[in-house]
Amino acid sequence: MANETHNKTPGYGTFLVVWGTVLVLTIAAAASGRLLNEGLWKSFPLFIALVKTVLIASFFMNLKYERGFFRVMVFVVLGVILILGLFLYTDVGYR
Amino acid sequence: MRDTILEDTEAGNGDTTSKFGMWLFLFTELFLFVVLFFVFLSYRASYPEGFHHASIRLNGVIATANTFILLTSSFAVAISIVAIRKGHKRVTIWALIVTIALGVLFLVMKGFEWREKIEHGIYPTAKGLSGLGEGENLFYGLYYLMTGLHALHVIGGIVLLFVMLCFVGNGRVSRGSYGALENSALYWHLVDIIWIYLFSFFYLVS
Repeated sequence: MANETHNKTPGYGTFLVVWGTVLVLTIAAAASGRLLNEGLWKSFPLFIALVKTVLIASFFMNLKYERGFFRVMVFVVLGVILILGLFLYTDVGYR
Repeated sequence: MRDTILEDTEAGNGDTTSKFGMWLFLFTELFLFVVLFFVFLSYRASYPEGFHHASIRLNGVIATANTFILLTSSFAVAISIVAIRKGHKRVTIWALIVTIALGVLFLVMKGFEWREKIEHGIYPTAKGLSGLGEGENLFYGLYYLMTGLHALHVIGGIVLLFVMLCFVGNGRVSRGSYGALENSALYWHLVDIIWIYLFSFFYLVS
């Protein structure tokens, strides 16, 4: 059948662990935003945001268990955003 | 924690075509915000002091609470998918009600935060803003634009999830056909992810 898919999703327990993890990471981000203001540490909340995004996309959005096609699509889009970001950084940085 | 991976090979449940369309839509939404984040970063590079002073005036407590609220709502909508797959209709309905309620709570909290700023004369076209520097003006302009646009997306998500709640109630969305609920949940998760970055850029990093 054309629309047939082989789709998986984790159960309640996995989502509970992911939820707890992202909440703890939020506390860590909020604390680091107030306490770590030197050098590269300033970007630490962004690193945490990235980790939370990966967790939400992988589990809540089911990308971990999704067909490879969807994962490739997401990586292509993220790659485009990264390239655009690099162009922007180069432009702003060398003005 | 040991957990069961649910598998689904039935046609229609994980309808690839509709999911593909939904992901394409999500990418357009993502780019809408990515462009605004690029604008934010460009101006931040030009006015680091102004952005810093404006950022520390924002209410970080409400923003942190709102992050908890949206993350929990994302968890609830994810639970609704597991529940519908298992055929637990009542759990699905309650998970959706919790998601919608948390979405509304997020908007209420955001309203309080905006009111606090507006009462201090900080809003677009306010005379009080002219006394601040250019960097702070740009920061607050982007703050209202981006959090406002995000709030509109939250309202859209709430409406969508309310429709799904009705569909689950009347059986149009069920164990045998839940693609629409899955796609609505994807939208809600994207709204959550966008907020994670709004929180990081406006309240923490600047």
